[in-house]
Amino acid sequence: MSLKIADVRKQYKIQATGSLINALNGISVTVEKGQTLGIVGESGCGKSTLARLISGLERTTSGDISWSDQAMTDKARNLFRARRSVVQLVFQDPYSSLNPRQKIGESISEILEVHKLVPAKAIDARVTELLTIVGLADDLKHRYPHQLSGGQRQRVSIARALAAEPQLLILDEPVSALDVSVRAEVMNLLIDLREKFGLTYIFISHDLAMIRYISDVIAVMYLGKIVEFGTWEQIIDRPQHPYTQALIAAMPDHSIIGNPETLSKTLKGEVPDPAHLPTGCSFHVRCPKAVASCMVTGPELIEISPNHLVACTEVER
Amino acid sequence: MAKKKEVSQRGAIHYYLQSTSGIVGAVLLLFMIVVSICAAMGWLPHNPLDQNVDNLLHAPSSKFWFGTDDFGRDVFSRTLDGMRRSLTVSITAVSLAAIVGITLGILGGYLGKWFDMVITRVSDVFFAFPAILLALAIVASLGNAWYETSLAIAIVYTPIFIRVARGPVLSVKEMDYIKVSRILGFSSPRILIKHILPNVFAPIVVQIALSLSWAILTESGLSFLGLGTQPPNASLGLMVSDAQPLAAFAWWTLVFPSLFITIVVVGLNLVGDGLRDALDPARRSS
Ligand SMILES: Nc1ncnc2c1ncn2[C@@H]1O[C@H](COP(=O)(O)OP(=O)(O)OP(=O)(O)O)[C@@H](O)[C@H]1O
Ligand code: SF4
Ligand SMILES: [Mg+2]
Repeated sequence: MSLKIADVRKQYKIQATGSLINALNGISVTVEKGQTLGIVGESGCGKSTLARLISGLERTTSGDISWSDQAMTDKARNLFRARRSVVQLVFQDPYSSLNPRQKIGESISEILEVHKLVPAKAIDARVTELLTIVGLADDLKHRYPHQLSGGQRQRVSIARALAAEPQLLILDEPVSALDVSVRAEVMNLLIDLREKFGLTYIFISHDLAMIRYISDVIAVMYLGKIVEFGTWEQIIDRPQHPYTQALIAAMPDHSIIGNPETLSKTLKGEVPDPAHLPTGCSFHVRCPKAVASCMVTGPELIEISPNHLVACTEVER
Repeated sequence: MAKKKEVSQRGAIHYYLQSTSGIVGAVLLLFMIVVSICAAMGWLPHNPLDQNVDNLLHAPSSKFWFGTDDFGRDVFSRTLDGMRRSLTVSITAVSLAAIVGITLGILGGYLGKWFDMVITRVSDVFFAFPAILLALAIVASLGNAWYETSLAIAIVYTPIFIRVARGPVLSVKEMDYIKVSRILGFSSPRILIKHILPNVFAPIVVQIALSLSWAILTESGLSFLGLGTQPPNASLGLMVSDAQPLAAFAWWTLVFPSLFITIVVVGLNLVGDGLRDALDPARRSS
């Protein structure tokens, strides 16, 4: 089983101006079951857009997403229902991801009821079990979200996702809104859950320490494309793409990746407007290694060594 | 911790009663409702329409508590009867406006697309006119029976309810918990009823209280301008209007009906404040 993303594109039409935002411009990647794909890149490069597409929240403009060869972009209603249990998404903001008018217990039991995942009599016990799994006390059931800390809420969000019995969990900056002191706990929980339930993760973050901690493979995105893909050693220790090199050079302490302030030291210019993509390699306007042909031909994502993919014509194979 | 849990399980009424403005508002409003019921039942010291040529412009006394007007009619009885009429017209108008406006606003906000576009365009047209002018124009073309006044006020306030319901629906719709509900495969009716409605309920209820107070002012305004309640029937606005030339030497003809308008409007606004606090679970915990 694996998640296959094939040449996925997403455009947003801005009603007011009629312009088209090219949020994703041909993403192809495969994630094997049980693996964790870490995604990094500057703000606005399309990480959350990809998360929304994989979760089925929005449709792709073109391209295919499938899980164990079952198309997830299929319009068939039964497939849409089935997808519920396949992919779940945990959002960054623990304050807006829980219904403020719903008690914690209800927000979990609702899923069990709607999808008849356990017999009616067993629902309460299952809610307790799910809360225990994410390290929360049973009596939280009767609380409202505002009575919980950020860390507790994020655990509830995770428990709610688990209630749907997913195989793939997308984590869009799941700990970045939390206190530093509770980040490690939640990260450990995520790793435990991955082992326990054989989950596959897509983990989006700006925090390189978190990415290193949890990811098996890392994808670096720039302007809606994956420009480099590989393991930690390949990407962080021996980056090949000029963009990845600039990202890494900007943070010798391996801290926050894509921070605009530090990045400006190693990379000139700004990210181009996704409504007007540059021709050729979309990085050429900022690339220190750009040659004339870069303005004309866009590079493919090519394997330069086993499992290490780079989208740059100037990289040695 | 245990104590906190207990508190959260209490109902909104408990929290409402903790708010001073809420209590004061409720008392004022209750007073007005009791007064209106008395008037409706005919439990008044005098018939509000009876003219008494021997007692023209009598100052307040033990017989005429609020004095008499220039026809010798009892101002107390007329004020109470006027209160009843204002409340009836306003409650009918606001109920109508709320039912139509909230339904349209929620559906527009949730469904979006052309449906929302039509609704917002039409309400924008209505918003372009001052409320009282619009009500005036509608009453002038409909007629001025009490239900026609109600209808006119309802038409004027419907776009307000559309806006009040639509705005929160639009912002709640973008909240992550709604996205999660969609990913979880919940049906649209379920998302609307269980996840969106409870979160837009508070501003709507508060708006109902505030709109009632505006509707009372609009009704008074229409009557003041001669287009609402017609003489000899009493309405607060009409009484204020009729008292204009008399106020200099018979203050009671102006002061009492004005006081009642003020009390009911202030009362409704205080109730609105109390509701706002009571219906927001995040505000309660502090
Ligand atoms: N609904 C939308 N309508 C129009 N443009 C959108 C929409 N959603 C995203 N975009 C645009 O698509 C691009 C990618 O946005 P996205 O939110 O996926 O970035 P991101 O990588 O998650 O950024 P961040 O690190 O800040 O979370 C941005 O240019 C953004 O402005
Ligand atoms: S293809 Fe050219 S512009 Fe693009 S990253 Fe490589 S060198 Fe730079
Ligand atoms: Mg994002």
